[in-house]
Amino acid sequence: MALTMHKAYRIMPLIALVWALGSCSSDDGETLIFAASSLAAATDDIDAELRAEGSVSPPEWVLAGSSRLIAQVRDGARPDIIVAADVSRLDEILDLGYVVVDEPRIANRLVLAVADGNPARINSIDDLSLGAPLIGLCAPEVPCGATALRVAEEFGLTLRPDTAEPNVRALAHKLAGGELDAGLVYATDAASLGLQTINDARLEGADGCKNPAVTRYGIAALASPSEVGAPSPATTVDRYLLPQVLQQAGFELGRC
Amino acid sequence: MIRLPRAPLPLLVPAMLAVALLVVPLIGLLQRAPWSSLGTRLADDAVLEATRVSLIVSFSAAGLCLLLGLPLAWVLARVDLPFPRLVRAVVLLPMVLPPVVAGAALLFALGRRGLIGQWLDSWFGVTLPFTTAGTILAATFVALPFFVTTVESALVAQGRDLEEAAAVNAAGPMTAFATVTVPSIRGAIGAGLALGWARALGEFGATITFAGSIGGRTRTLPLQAFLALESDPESAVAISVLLLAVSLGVLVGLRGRWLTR
Repeated sequence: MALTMHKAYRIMPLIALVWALGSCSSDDGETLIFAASSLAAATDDIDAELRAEGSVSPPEWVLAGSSRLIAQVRDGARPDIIVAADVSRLDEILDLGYVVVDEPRIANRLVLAVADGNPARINSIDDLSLGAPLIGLCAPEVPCGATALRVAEEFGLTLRPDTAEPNVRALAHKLAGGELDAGLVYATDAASLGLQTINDARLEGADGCKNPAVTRYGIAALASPSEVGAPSPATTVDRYLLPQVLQQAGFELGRC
Repeated sequence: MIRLPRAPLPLLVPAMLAVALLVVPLIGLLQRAPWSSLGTRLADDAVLEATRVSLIVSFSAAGLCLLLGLPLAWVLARVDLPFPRLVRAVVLLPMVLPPVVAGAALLFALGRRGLIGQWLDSWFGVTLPFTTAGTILAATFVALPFFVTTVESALVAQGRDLEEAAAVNAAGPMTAFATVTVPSIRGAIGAGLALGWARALGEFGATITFAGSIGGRTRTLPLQAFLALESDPESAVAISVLLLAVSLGVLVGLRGRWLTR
């Protein structure tokens, strides 16, 4: 008898734990937006604009690498909107009740950013092939790193980074702090952190998506919101991803 | 043979709950592990490279803990310091500091534009961020408190008598420290080393912030796992299983050798 009692006690905590986990719920009616790290350049301004307009309250933002966001959705997270820095990744969540929303068409562009005062005298993206300056890039596993690789391939550069950062914000902050001499970051991060940039005509071509430095975001929204009379996915996106604010932050709209 | 009393329920239930809290996530990890392809995933060049960096970094950090931490533990235990509580709190701080913040603090101090780092750079041309040395430093920063507190409490528990007697009989206090004190607390030194090493092996936040991430130089296994989560989650799980196995092996091995007495 004592033995079986002991066994019962052993299982009880597990049951308690499972019950506690199962009863957790974070649904409080607030709009939840999963967005690529690079959207950090615009979230504060969008929040401020929404507060000023007063039509909807600012959403809850979760910023992380696009792959991680997609994985979290696959693992059960249910954001109302997801903005990925890689359009193709959205395919992975279309079976989970999400639909792709085509407007607004948001794009971002890699720029050559340097430490304040350009101590390593970087002139063009060719200098990224040099061994001496401290060069930072995004890891090839995340979209900004994949885009940097595309740029290198297109223009025949041999990139020799001293660090491959897990997201573009980490890279941009290391440039802002002067720990790195140069790196390829998004125009939006350079703008929001006030980074010094070096013009290189190859990155600046106005040929939209054909330029390897340009990457377009993919947007998806929940197809069947639970409440009756809820707005359509396109309307929900329209309410929160304010084009004029995004453009001010350095995103390119409608060109790609 | 000692007979343990039957565990009373008010102790047994929370104890089992604690075990569940620790073990359930591990089971979650293990059931997601790609067992059939584990070998090929771990034999991947990037993983092997990260394993090499991790071993170099974690054992170097453990070595630095011994070199710097043992004298510090002795000073804390034996010397009447001004503001002893404050000094101890400072030694413990890296345990509570969010590792990412620890990394930022290291950058502010030892980065190229940091408090000391700018002189290291302009006088000696030494830059620690983005180097293996920087990675070791970050790991040592977070591991040191684990070693120091373990050894210090053993020294305090042991008391001064043995050391003082030895100092009277033998030569100076340094000889007493080396020949009497250190051997008598070698169990605690081993335990402290194991804890510090394990903390260094798992270190992530301070490393990514201070030393960045580049294969073969600063990308340790936890960084490789974090990166793999972006593109190949199964590989990240495989790396975690490797980390678990290595640390479990070392900790169990050390326990058998040093901690049981």
